Amino acid sequence: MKDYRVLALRELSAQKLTSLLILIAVILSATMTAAVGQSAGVLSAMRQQQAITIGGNRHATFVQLTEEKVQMLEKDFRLSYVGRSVSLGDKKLNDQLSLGLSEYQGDSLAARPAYSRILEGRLPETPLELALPEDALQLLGFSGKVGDKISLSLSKALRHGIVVDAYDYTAEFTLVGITENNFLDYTGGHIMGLAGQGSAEAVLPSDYLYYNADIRVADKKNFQTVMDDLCVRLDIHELDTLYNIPLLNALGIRYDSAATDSGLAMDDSGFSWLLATGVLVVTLILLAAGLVIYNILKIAVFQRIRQYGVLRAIGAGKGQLYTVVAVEILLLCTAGIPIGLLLGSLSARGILAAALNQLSPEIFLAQDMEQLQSLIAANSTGKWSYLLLSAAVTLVFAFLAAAPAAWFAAKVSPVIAMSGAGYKGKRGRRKEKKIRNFERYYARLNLSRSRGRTAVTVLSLVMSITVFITLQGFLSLVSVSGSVPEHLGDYSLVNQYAGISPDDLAALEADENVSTVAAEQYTLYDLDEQNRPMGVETDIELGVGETFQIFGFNDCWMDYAFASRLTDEQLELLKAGEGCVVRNPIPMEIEGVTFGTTHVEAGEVITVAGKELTVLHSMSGYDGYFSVGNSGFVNGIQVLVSDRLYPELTGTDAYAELRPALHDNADRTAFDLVLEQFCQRLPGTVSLSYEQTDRQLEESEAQIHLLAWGLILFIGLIGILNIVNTVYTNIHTRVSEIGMQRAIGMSRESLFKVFLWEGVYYGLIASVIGSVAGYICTVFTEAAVTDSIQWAAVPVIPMLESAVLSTGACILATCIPLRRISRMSIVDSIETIE
Amino acid sequence: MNIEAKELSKIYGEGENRVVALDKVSLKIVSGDFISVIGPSGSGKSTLLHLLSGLDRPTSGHLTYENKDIYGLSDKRLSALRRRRIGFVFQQFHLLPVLTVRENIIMPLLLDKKQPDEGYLEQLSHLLGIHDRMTHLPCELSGGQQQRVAIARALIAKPDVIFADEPTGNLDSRSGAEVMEMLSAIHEKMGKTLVVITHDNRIAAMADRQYSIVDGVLTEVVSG
Repeated sequence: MKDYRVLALRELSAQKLTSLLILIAVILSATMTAAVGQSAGVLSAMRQQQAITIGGNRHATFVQLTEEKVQMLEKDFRLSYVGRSVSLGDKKLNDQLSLGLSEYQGDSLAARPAYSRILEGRLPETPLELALPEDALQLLGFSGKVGDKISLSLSKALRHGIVVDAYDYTAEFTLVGITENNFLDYTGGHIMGLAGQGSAEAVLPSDYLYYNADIRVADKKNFQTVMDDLCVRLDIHELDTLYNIPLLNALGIRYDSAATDSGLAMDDSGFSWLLATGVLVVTLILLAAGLVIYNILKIAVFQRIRQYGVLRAIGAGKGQLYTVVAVEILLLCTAGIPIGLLLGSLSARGILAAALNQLSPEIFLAQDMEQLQSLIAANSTGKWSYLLLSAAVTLVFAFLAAAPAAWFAAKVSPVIAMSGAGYKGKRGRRKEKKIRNFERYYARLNLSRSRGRTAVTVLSLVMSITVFITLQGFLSLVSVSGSVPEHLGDYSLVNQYAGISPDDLAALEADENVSTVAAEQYTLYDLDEQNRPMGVETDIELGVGETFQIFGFNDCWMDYAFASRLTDEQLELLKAGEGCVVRNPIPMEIEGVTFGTTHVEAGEVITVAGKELTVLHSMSGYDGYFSVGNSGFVNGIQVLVSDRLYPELTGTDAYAELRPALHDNADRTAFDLVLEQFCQRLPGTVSLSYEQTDRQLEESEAQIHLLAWGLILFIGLIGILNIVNTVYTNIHTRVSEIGMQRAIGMSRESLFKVFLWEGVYYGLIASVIGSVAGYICTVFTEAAVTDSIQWAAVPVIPMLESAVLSTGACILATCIPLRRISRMSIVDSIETIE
Repeated sequence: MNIEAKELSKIYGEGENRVVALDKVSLKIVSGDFISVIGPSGSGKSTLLHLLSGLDRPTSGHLTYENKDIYGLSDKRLSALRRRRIGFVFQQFHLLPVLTVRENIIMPLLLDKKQPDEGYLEQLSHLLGIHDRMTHLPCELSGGQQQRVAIARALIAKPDVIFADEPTGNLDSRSGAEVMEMLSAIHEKMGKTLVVITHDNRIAAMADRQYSIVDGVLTEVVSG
């Protein structure tokens, strides 16, 4: 032995059970922190990857720069990357979409991975070579192949101050490649095509040759300062500065511009929610594990108090005793944390998948769960920084938990410690009552003579029970909200851009596997400054912040939506186009101003596009709403009519959404193929199988149940660790007392009963407190879901279950150390000094 | 090392519960002294030893080691003083059960970040008759052997003074006599100052100067 700190190792190996219990607590907490840390790492990587997919691997883009300014940017040492491109102009494909053609110079296309995924052919290299997405070619009506010539009429717009000047031209390109469709482009209404280098010079006059520059700033902390300085020095107009918000957010770069690149900003609320949940769970686990470590170590130190006194007497300083205890916890952490990190890393992928199943994959811009799962898999390689952070958090918590014990050891007085101060109880006002059951009575006295230990043990059990009851409440909410919903149809086909024609609807209806097809038409009208809908006339007086929407439904959809709301006669009138249903906006108050107050009553007559319509039924408040696909409710007046009337009101007969339902014995594989071809034929069409989403929902519910039960077991295990330790310590510190009790005639069975009663009391006290705490948490959980605090139904069954389980666990945990009593010799027990 | 206690008092409790454990005790210990303090249980013997060795602080009074007031020292410096210049032998031996005999003996040096002088360690272990027990754990030794290990621990740092609190109190008469012979020999051969607390008249009589303590009052016993 070369150093006094080795004493820590000897103590650990001498007190095997104590060491094992602490080790388990460290492993459990490290597992959980690693699982959450690793998940956070994967989420962060996914977020960055997706951000790059959305807006490119660039922090910002300056548009409409001269050659001179681009060169200045390229020479600026504060920028780690500058990639230049030239916009050749736009071509309108339909009312919703346009095609933008750009020439990326040098290797600047590498920063835009979403545009360069080749399906066929290659990327353009030389002037007037072209690569277009598959859907753009369809919308252009191009039926040729790679290598064919394609003529495009483009318009190159330049902005001078606020005045926009356009140059229109037609040029002939050679199609050298077809790129993958990028559905994200639809959100911005802009599909991107690529032209070979030198194309811009070939087709644009020199005074229209302006560049776009994608940049990345080297010093991320000073991003905004650099951007501001560049804008001033290069005299760049704020409208020509486009921040890549998704990537800036994902990288945690601070910016203070309201400018966004496009409508492609990611919704970060899901990520924050996940992170907050993770932090909450980790805190809970660390707290529970910390209690175990604190309790066990404090007891272990107390048992060794005489030794610490001797050490102080022979010259150990307080710091040295503190060090001995700290080294003990460090050694246990050194052994436990790597195991915990390994277990946590292994379970992180599963936990993350289960957690993400509760969110829409769209948060990560994945089209479906499968894509999301592959995204998780791709990003699940070792996240060392997060693992290190997890290890550090566990270590810090373990040290914090050990600190009171170490402090207790360090401040011990050698005189008191060596004299072996015994139990000093306070004489309470104990009522003299007849003792009916000595074991039970003695168990109660034992609980009250080590109040601190009892409190910590009960507290850790209370945490387990609280988590159990709260999660049970949460699971029942998940079961209710996640129960498989009733769908109109078996599939959903949505095309909000070009729409689906009546012929396409008829073709689908004619398919042999199809039983019915419900169809919905939709037009949204924004309001002008006088609050009148732009593009249609109506006599309804609309308010600020509202919209005007017209929905058309075929008979099948009408029956589904209105059969229960209207009389047969009203439904027939509605189907015949001789009336309408109105869905009123939902009133809301923003900064003291109330919006959405327009209200139309049933029986009123309204005029839309010059046609008078009787309102057969009026819907308000939470009485359902109508939307296309999963786009959600857009606040405003919704006029709901038959598809027979819709073209007359809106001037279009295209459908936005179809819901085909199949026959019972339909060939689903064949129909899936039909749908695939349907989607290919109509660019921008997104299909969804309810059978698939329902299955995913069920799987997701099962996974979340598994996750919740895992958490319950996790915290439960920590609670049990505490009980085992407490009972073991109670036996250890009362060895001579037990020997004396045995000597004066107490049977082994009677002794067992005392300890078992203690276990029962731990369980019962914890059940009562835990049930109350669990109920309060359940109220808050329900409030989080319903957005209003109200008394929830008392979860009687989970409370009873937790009482039975915790008391059972306490008895079981008591039985383990009780074996020690059965092996104890009366003489040895009495003679035991330490 | 000369030690001087001036009017040391130790009072526990207040009011009705006030107990004077030590009442204005003054004592001079000159380097190389062998002093015994005898007294019945509860007379204040151990309290005096705790105060003289710096393990505890008095309610009032002063204690100087080489004219320096040790109660004014910081905990760090007081601990260092105990490590380097004071050796303790306790009635209950107080060996660390998880350490071997050798490790127990060298612990004061390790706390001082020093390694033992192997020659001196061997000399000590032979002198105390425990050289063949160095790798044993305390629980594998008899009471007499454990106390000899405790004496070796007290001597390893070559202290100036050894405080022994009832060193034979937990031993049978034969082992007790052996231990006292050893302590006496150490005092004579090594010139260490020895302060022994005891309630045994025979052991007290072995000292050069004898004191008696009753109800916290210390009186020198003049041998007639």
